[in-house]
Amino acid sequence: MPLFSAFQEIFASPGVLWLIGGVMAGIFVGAIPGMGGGMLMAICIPLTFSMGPMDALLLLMGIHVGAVSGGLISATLLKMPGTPSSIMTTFDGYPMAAKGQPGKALSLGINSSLVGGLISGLFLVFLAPGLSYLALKIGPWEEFSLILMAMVLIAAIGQGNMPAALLSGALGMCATLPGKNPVSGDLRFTLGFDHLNEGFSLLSVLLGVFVMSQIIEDILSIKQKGTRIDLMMGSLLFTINEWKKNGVNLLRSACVGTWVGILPGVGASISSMVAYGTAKTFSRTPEKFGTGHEEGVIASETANNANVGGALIPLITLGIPGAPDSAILLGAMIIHNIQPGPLLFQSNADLVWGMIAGYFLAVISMFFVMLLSVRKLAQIINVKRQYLIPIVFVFCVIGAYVFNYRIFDVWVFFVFGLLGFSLRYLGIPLGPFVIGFILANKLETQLYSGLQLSDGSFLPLLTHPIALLFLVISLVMLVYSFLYSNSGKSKPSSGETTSPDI
Amino acid sequence: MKCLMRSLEKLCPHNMLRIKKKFSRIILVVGIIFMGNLLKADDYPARPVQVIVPTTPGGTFDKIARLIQRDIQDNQRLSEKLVIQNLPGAGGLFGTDRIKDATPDGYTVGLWNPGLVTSKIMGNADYDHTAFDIIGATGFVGLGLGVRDDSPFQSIEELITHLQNEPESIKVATNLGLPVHFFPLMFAEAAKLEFRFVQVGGGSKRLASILGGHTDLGQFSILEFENYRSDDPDRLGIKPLVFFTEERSSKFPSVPTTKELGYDLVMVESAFWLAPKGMSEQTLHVFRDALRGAMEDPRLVSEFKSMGMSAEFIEAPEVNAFLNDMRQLCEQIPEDRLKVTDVVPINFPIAIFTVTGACCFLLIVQSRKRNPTPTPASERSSIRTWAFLVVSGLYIAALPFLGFSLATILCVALSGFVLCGFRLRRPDIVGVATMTLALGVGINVLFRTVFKINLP
Repeated sequence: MPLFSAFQEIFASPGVLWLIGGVMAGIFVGAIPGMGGGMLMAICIPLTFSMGPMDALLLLMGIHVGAVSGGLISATLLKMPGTPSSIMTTFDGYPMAAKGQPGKALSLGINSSLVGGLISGLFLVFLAPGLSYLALKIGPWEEFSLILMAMVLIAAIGQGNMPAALLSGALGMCATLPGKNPVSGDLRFTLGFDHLNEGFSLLSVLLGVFVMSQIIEDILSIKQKGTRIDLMMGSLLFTINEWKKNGVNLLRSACVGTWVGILPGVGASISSMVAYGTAKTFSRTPEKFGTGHEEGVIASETANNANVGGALIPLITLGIPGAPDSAILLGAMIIHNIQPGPLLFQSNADLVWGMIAGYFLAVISMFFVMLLSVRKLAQIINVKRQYLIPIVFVFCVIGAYVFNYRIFDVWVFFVFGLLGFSLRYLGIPLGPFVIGFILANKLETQLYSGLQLSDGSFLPLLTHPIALLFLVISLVMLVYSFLYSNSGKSKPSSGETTSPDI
Repeated sequence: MKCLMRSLEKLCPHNMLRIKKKFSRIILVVGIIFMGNLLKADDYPARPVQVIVPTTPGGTFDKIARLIQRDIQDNQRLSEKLVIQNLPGAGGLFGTDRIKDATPDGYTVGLWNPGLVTSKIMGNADYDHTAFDIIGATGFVGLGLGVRDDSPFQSIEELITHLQNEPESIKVATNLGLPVHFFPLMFAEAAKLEFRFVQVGGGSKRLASILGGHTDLGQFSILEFENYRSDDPDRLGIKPLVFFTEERSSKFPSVPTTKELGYDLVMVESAFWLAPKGMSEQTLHVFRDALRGAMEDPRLVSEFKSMGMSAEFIEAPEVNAFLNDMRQLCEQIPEDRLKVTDVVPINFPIAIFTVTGACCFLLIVQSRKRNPTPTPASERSSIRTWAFLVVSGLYIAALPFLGFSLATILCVALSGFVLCGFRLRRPDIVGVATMTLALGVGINVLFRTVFKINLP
């Protein structure tokens, strides 16, 4: 099988060093809130000019895989997502660590990442061509109902305080309004600010709402002597029992992550959100989600790693990137004289198998690098807040700035940090805000595109089978979670809230 | 400086006068050399020239700039090298804004494509190519309209006939406001047809839309037609129906050109090199020579050809004429044909605001029933928080003025001070100092040298 010879080739060449180096760099950068894999990949492209195409792609692939996993570390230990894909991990990873079980949280994350990566790799190897043509069938109506389905998850993640969650989601949607009207291209709500022509940049908003608000929260509680978290972790590997217990969740989240990754234009944060919401809906103990439940961590981390492999599928088979970060891989391919497209497999079979083999190797090396280094990296939690906060803040400033080289984005980061903190203070959950922000724009665009195609009619929602399917699933999930929240949920006793301030 | 002088004085007071004299002499000499450099204007470039590319790194457009950058450096066509800065965003407008507003001293230039003209007509920009000094254009690639392999239309004539019988029956995947919208529209105007334009997005999305059967037609470059061609009946690709070029393409000999069909439309994708208005003729001359030389280099020519682009340097007057013609053609398109009719019954913003309002209301009603627990005030360090917010706010405001290093050093030192409770104990001083230097200086150096990124 050409895959095996590809493996051999990689090991024989210096490419393997680039790959592992990339994974390490990716994990490191991914763990720093403010800097993400996408940024590192973009700034490394010029560095790859003197390299051969395979080496360049291995390096970038390594960074890509590493960064998505690295985000786990700061999400769990600092409650600050290192990358947008780890936002959902903060919901359960951090409470688990705060309760004195950081090792367990990290172990869950690392093992889930491995599973997610490997399963999507299997999809990549065996089902790539078929899946990508299926993905092409996803038109505006299908995406519209898919996004509706994802939005139903606002209710699922709402944790009982439904009005607060809905308000949070609605505010997130409001935040996407400034900018261009997707259809006419007219500007709206920009108040004369040229900088708002493109709307608020996603990265600045996410960094602000999650990281900056957490920074403010941390400073406020800086005088409280935090309990020195015991970092004596046992083995970080899963036991057989743990595999059995979480098998279904792992498999399901990996599939969700892969499939969402295949859809062009949808990123890792959405796949982890969908997986999280699905896990919560189908869980036997949904009320534990958000308090440090292992199912939550597993769902999020499996999906965001599976997303990377999923995004590679349309890239390799069609030349269409499945996620923003894989678009960077596309750009790198072009610069290195590789022309992506349906013919890539025929014209450059060696390269394609090399990329697939590289992906598997990246996932496996990520696993080992994380296992070996996480104990050291976890020391970060015991660094004095006085030092940690300015460092994280400066990195966030850099990360927000480097995105588009504008100071405006840094201001957006700052202001949304204040906003995010106010939401926390009022007891409004942050998760739905982000969901609303990311999805509202897409929802609107897809609805307009769909209506343009159908000349104003909503009928395609019922006639297109895939769209109808997603619509039905949304309704089912809505009803399901509604029923569930009314039956076996414990009411918060006065003066104590069971759901944490996320 | 003063501390240094004072400590020197303490060491050897009688030498002070001598040292002071020496210093002033050195400063005088340095000053003269510096002034001399300023006066030597014909020594352009005396330092690296920044080239702004309004796309993310990677991709064809970026590649053009980098190929030329490498060629100029390898063959030393300029006395200094080119440094590429990627400024993506706003459909290229972030980058072109920056080029337009740069000092016209020859050390900031950039490049962009025909989107320069279309953005203004669409109303997204308030300037077009006339706001720049055009240096020239390097290479161009032909564009054409294409359909999916299994489309019922085998030729452009069939498509035209179909559209004449059933106007607006063909859906065109496009990105409103950009050349991929305008050029097909110009073709439609010339052939008296009516397309139905659907907003889809960038290149990959449009390809996906056509391959998925959601739209019927789209504009692509000759290179893209080559890449996405598929001879495999199991895998669908796209095929071109007509090209907007002077002559037929050698890769697609059976596809006609618009000229053959009787329409005087030649539309190309090209890289126009732009300079802020006001650059001296001499500087422009030097840069043009370098580009001309690069485009004649056999190695570069073959690289361009493999990208499907012609390798020519097109002089500024010709470029200006082309862009002016294009603008004229675009301006002739009636306004109502530009905008896509609003088919949506829902006004999104109003819907969202209503939902937000309803939720607020529900929330207020609900909170009257619950009693929130206040956390003890002594445990919350509000003063430090406010102080930090002030410091960090000032930091962001100061960044454009003080530069990254200085601003970061000040900010980190101050915030370290604030967070430690407004007093620094011995061990903290070391920690804060290391952090300050590492972040302020170290990071800046790292980004500048390794990644060639200029922080504010």
